[in-house]
Amino acid sequence: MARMIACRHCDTLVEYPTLSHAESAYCPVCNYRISIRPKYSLQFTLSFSISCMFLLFITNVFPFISINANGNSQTMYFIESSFAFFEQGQWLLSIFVFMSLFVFPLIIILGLIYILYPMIFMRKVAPGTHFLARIIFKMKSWNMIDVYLIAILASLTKLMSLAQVEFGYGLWAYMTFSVFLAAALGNLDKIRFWHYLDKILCHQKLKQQPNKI
Amino acid sequence: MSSKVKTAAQQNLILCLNCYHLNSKSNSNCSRCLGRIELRKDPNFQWTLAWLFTAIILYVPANVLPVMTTVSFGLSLPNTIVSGVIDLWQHGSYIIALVIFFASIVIPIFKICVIAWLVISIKLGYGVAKKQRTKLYRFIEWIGRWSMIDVYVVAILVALIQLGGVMQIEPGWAALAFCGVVLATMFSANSFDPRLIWDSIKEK
Repeated sequence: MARMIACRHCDTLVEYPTLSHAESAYCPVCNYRISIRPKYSLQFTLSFSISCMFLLFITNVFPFISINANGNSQTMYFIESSFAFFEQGQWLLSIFVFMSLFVFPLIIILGLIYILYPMIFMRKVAPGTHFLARIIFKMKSWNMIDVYLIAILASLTKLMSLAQVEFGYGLWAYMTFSVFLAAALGNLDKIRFWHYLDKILCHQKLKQQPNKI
Repeated sequence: MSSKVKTAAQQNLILCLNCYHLNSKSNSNCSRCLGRIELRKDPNFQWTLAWLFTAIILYVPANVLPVMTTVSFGLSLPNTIVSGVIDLWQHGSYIIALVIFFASIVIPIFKICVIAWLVISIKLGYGVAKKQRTKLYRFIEWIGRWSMIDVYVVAILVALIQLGGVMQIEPGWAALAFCGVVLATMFSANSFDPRLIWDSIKEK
């Protein structure tokens, strides 16, 4: 019997999709996109994640936006958008903003590097990979990096009417960061990831066998 | 529907939503990724409806209370979500006004209506337009996060505009309530299982 897989949205059994480069598989019944295969899927995810790590660092270290009005100036750092809520007594909102803009993306990036680096370069599976991968796939929809980017654009129009706005290096790094994170997550296909993980596990077992005998 | 097309449930299989591994019905955890598996998530819509009602209740304070207050030279000016959109429109930034209008007024209402309709249509055993309903679900699942724009706009303005006595922006309780609305609709959409749309027809 051929390997089967079920569509996530309508439960129809379909044959396991074997795709070549730049192809995607759709469910024949409900048209759900079951799997995609970009050209260098997991390698791309890893390299974009590593660059995301550096960009997130730059985003946090350099000033984000600064305004200047009537001689008063104020500089904002990326992380301050959550701390400002805290100072005003809205700590629930501050926790939400901090989690969705910093903690979740950081866990996703570091987790992806931790999982993918040994898999691709050493053909090994790091301990805790299954658990971490499950968390990362669940968190994927809860990182709000791209939403925040649009929010910056929306608030800039309001700010421009009030004061002079200066963009810091942090903002440019953030823009690149959001594009790179989208690229990292866009190249990460669930089916292909778990299939690759199975392959590596099998490889690892085969490698260990001659040592035992 | 042709009899050839079979579902995983008919073959006594459960799909793991974490790793897309097909497990036999007797398993309670996926044999590959060890995550919990169920035949259908939330088959009686308890979670879906609970989150939906939370969203509806929170929607009232989110629109009535001020989302932020501008304090300028001792004069405080509260702004609700709707008045913020009207303000932006009057200042001539039409695109941003439209973005905020859709993200924080149209989409939450649309999402609440769609989830309610999906649940009602399944409960009534409504058997047509399954594909369209699945598409609708996919759309609200995708668009859910974008409603957060308004919360982040408030976050940026609050962090940036603290110019002492000249001008200061303080967050209002509506920001928290609105954040709750968006999160509740996202949880509600998350706990809804679109496979239930297809189940109701095939069993008959």
